[in-house]
Amino acid sequence: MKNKRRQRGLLAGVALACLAATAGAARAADHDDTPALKAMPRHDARITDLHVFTRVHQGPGRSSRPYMVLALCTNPTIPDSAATYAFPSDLTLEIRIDRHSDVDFAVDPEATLRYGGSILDPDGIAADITFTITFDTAGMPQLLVDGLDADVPISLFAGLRDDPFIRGPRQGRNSASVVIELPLQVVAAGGPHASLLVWAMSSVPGPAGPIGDIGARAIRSQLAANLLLNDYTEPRDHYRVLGLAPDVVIFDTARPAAFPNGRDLTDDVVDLVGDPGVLATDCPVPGDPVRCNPSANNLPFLAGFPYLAPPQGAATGNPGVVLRFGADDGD
Amino acid sequence: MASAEPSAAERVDYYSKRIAQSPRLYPMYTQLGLACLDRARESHDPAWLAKAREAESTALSLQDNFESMLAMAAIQNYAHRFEEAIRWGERAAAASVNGSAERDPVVAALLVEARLGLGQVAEAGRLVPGSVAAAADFHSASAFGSWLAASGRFEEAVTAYARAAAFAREGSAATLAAWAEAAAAAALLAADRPAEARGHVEAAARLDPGATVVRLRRAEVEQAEGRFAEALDILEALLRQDPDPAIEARAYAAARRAGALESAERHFGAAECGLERAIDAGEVYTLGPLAQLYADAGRQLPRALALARENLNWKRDREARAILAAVQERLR
Repeated sequence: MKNKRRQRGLLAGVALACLAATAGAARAADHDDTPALKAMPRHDARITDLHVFTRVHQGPGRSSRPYMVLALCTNPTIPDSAATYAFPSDLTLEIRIDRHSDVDFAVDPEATLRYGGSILDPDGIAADITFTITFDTAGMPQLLVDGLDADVPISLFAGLRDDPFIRGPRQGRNSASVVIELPLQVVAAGGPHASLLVWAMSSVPGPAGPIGDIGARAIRSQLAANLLLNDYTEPRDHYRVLGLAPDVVIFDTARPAAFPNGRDLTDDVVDLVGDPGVLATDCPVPGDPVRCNPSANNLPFLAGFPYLAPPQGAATGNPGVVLRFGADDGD
Repeated sequence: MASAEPSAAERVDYYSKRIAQSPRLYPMYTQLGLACLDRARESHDPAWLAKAREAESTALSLQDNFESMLAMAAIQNYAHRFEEAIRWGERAAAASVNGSAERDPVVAALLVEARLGLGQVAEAGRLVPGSVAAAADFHSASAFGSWLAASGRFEEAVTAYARAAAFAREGSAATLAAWAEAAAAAALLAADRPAEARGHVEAAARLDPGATVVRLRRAEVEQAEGRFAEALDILEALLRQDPDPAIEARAYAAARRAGALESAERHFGAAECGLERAIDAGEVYTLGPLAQLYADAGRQLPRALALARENLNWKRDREARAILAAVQERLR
């Protein structure tokens, strides 16, 4: 299905300017550390996970070229009884990519192990590509892309999916997910480097001004000191203001995407990070084979787009929509 | 630290306009319902309660969502329909971030309130932290305070509320901090220690001087110390702001004790009319206050007895039992 609502240039720029003007009002985080959105309450605007990985399309006649997949999950409080999901029409989601920043993988082995690398000039982090996802009154997604040619083939999924976070309390739960897929070479070829920085943002209006969330690294909320990141929506400010490693996913496209180089769906980041506080809460139901210290998701991920597993118990509902934009790449 | 949050009326207006622009935007119905609940709290007007329920039902019909389940639990707690509140609270617990196994503190606090309303102190005790020090957030600390107060452990309740107030101050939430200080004052009044309660009322007033709960608590302190005219002044000032029949009932009792009989009659009539209106609308949250009003006045005692007994079908805490005892005492 081709969608003609994709817009570029001026409109995308206006959207970014609005977000920039409201950055001071924003609060942020990942699974359960967004006090302002919880207090409102607007759990639907809370970012839970951002996965960044690659796939090669399977099947006869398919090329072997890799595709980049950006999977953004939101709303950690979807009831089991929800068989479908309507994204609110006042919610704006963004996935941003910096493809100009240099990343070093040798200078600080600990940072490479923890964050995927060391960003040499954190002060210079800025988006070169922005995907802005909004929703109409029926919950249908609309995509604005800034920083790519109009004919770039892009697939977009939006809807209810199984929560891919491999953590005890989240097994058997659903999330409201947006998945974007496009040829990796299109993203990586725009700059001189193989390294990409990726992060996501959300925003909703409120009586006292817009409010939102930022989400990127899987381990951010797993490290208590990094919760300070929540007050700053620009990753460069994490370094400028707080002196911390910016909250972005580092993905060196020359190497396979596997945490901490990007984050694949099967990466058990809870165990890989090994934060004692998070590990201590990874088994809410002792002895439960699904929810106690899981090392894999309880539902299998899909081999094809949108890759996230179908929602739990959603056989009767609408599990989401897929839209395709740009030129048909025959793949 | 003064409150700069929009008023309930402003929120009703804001969310109503948002709904007019986007009639399928379910989070706005959730927010509108919560704003209407706050208007109900301010006015005791059953119409606001009906609007709150309607808004949440609409939100849930558009998208099953945690926020509306939580709001429904809060609405039913306010309405004294505690069994219903528990049902919504359990659904919300299952939908919360970590599920039922590790309770969300807001959900747990609502369930504690519902259990205490039903007089199920032991069941509520299973939902609160093991100690004041173990209360890790405002909601856990305040729920623990409520449970301690319901258990007659007033000194510890004050400590728990102080912890809740500290969490609220830390988060610059003046309204919540004032509420916690006022709750500490209530615990001290229940322990018959009005002089100490006054200190907490003053602390609450510094945080949020205009809050109804703070001014009501001040009136209770005045009354407990025998200054009925001062209590009446405070209550009448509140009534000029919001003609709440529950406050009219309190004003009646204060006026009577102050010897202001004409004023007492006026407040009695307004209280009776307003409390009856809620009952006529099918609500049960004014059964107790109306029974108490009749007991205070020594009027309509057979009806007061029926109201107090009917109230116990919905609310079975210490207060509800005390109202029945007061009516029975009057009948002797």
